[in-house]
Amino acid sequence: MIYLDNAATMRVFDCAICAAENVMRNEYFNPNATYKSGVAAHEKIEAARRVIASAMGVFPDELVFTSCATEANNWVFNSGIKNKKGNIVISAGEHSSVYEPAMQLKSKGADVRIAPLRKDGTVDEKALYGIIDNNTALVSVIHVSNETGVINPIKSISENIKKLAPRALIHSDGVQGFLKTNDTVSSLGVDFYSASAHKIGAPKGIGLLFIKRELNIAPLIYGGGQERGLRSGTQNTPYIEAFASAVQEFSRLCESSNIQSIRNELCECFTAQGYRIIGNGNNSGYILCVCVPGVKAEILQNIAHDDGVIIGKGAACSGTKRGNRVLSAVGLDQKSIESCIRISFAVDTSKSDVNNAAKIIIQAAERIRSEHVG
Amino acid sequence: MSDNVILIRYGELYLKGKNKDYFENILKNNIRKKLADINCKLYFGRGRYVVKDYESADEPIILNRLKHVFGVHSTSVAKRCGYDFDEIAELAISIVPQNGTFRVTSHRSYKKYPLNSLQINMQLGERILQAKPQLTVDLHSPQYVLNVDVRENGDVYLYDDSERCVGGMPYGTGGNGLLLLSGGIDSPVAGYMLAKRGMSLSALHFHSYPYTSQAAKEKAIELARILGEYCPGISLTCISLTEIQETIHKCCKPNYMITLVRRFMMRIAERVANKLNCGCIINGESLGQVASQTLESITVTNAVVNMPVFRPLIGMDKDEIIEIAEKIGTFKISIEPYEDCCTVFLPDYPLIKPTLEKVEEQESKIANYNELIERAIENIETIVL
Repeated sequence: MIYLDNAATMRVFDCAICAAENVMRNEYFNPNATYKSGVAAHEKIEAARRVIASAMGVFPDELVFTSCATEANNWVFNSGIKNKKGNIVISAGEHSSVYEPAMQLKSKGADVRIAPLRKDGTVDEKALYGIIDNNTALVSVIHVSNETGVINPIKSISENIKKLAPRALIHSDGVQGFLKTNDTVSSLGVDFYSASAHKIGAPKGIGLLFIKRELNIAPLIYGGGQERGLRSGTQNTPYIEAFASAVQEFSRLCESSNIQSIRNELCECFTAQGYRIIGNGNNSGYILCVCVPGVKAEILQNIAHDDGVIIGKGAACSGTKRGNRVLSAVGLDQKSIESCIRISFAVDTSKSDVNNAAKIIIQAAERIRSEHVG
Repeated sequence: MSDNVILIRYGELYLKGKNKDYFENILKNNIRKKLADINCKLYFGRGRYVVKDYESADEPIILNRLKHVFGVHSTSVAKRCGYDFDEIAELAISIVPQNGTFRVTSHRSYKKYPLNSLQINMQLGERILQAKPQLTVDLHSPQYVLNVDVRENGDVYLYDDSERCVGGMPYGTGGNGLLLLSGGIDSPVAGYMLAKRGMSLSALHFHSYPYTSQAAKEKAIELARILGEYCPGISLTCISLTEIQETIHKCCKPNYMITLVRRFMMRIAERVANKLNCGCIINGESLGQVASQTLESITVTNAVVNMPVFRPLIGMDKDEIIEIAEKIGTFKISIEPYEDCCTVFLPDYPLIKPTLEKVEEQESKIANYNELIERAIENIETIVL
């Protein structure tokens, strides 16, 4: 089976499994206990935090572990922003874990503004700056689109936002961006940045929120005061260890990865078939969104699966919701959206696997077209 | 162990004549099975069943389970004592509130009890008033009603209110039916309605993988599981219509797709029903809801089967159906957006008023009609729920 739905989740690296297993079997102590073994467990968390912080180019104490990136994103929108005067600005390309909390605030009376996307999948910067004003309290722009893989120029966006609205806090959802672009988090100039472990080869159930040092943020969960009082609850030591291990492995593999050229070749192959690449903006290289005209993505996904290739169709997280808000924002009509597949790569996806997958996908699409059921 | 008992009342079974025992025995058996894994004792009296000697923590679980047993009309949590009137009065005084208005409503199934119902009401009311003078009697709209149930087994039960349950006829007393379970809102409700009248269900789900997703089939499985809470032992079989739909797509006019597929479905369903000893087919059709549910469409699809086809929702509005779906817990699953086989190869303008003659003409273009049915049935898949 060739797995090309890595933006949904990645196979867990062996080293991450070993790291988690070791903690579960041998170093299972409560990291908040004051006896030696507990203190050692706590030190392991801090060491893991340092590894991840180093990869992000931030201070370790700027990272708070959460159960997932959805929690981190929700936290940003529930951290007292609603009590502040001022408006909230998000892009139309946000993942549901940003969009829905923003809509929740809107339903409670907050002024939530949405910046449109350009056809290339990036946020329309001119329109974004047009809706930001002195009263803007929070701006959230996704780093790398989970639908198209397009990179938003967060660094320049942050600089411009700070000029327009010095009070505004800036958040970027980095779930598909962490370790997958050349930017370090520190260089982006954001106040908050969310990341998820299972997108880079660690298990599901662990994520983090970067909170810039000088910021005070209200805790999302109150209790025993773990994570510097910001996120109570006994820390998930096995998965934090696995997270750090996966960060190291992913970074190591990145050095020899040629994922961008693999994606480019696949783009050429599909374009030659008359398929349409969605989001031509600067791409992380890890996601390819393709519209296969006349073919329903769901049917293509099923047939490709039976023929040995797993691909996505839009974000798996929004699989139970009809339509696709982000692809609509890029300007696609309903029929085109229904024909969009999402192919996403792991850092170690091989060229030969992608070539074989392309053949299977093309054959499956032809079969569907020949039945006229797309 | 709880001091309370749970009283179970059955519904229209009391209307039954000489075969009442048959219905009661099945109901008793269904209740026994539903509570089999809970440590409790069951007593089956005339017109009242009683659950006793259970752990207090199990009380809400038992009450909830009984809400899923067809034939159970209502339940009450009661206190129990013997025939001694002083004992009854003492217990009554301990459970009525300190102040407000009240009345006593007695019922005697033990007719030899020395006091009649009216006397019990009056004497017990008097004793309560003596003990709790802040209370006053209000026979018309009291804040608290103390019900006193004098049974023939030596027990007297005292309780304040009763909770309505699903009612209907005991599951298994109304024959066997094959439910066409699509995954939408209507068909689980149709199954529920017939099961409520005592019919045992087997479910049949048609899919069109890979044109429909695996998730759509999982949805039907989940719906069958929920129905299983009311319909113990419900089975689910799945049949693929993929080849049939592909063939219709190739051979026939596009706007006949739905009508022809549904005729295939009914033919297959009848065969499966016979195999599973079901005497009827049940579906969720509601008149005029979609193109396939007009009188003409139903006439054409009904024409291919000989066994009765029950459509319990035929005269119901969508919101009425949704109300039941929400009550039985299938609605949230049904609205998950996975396409079912009826939406595959969907023509832009499906036929609203097909005629038998023209449908048969289209059908005659499918040379291997019976072979397709045979193959679909050969590849039947039985799901373990």
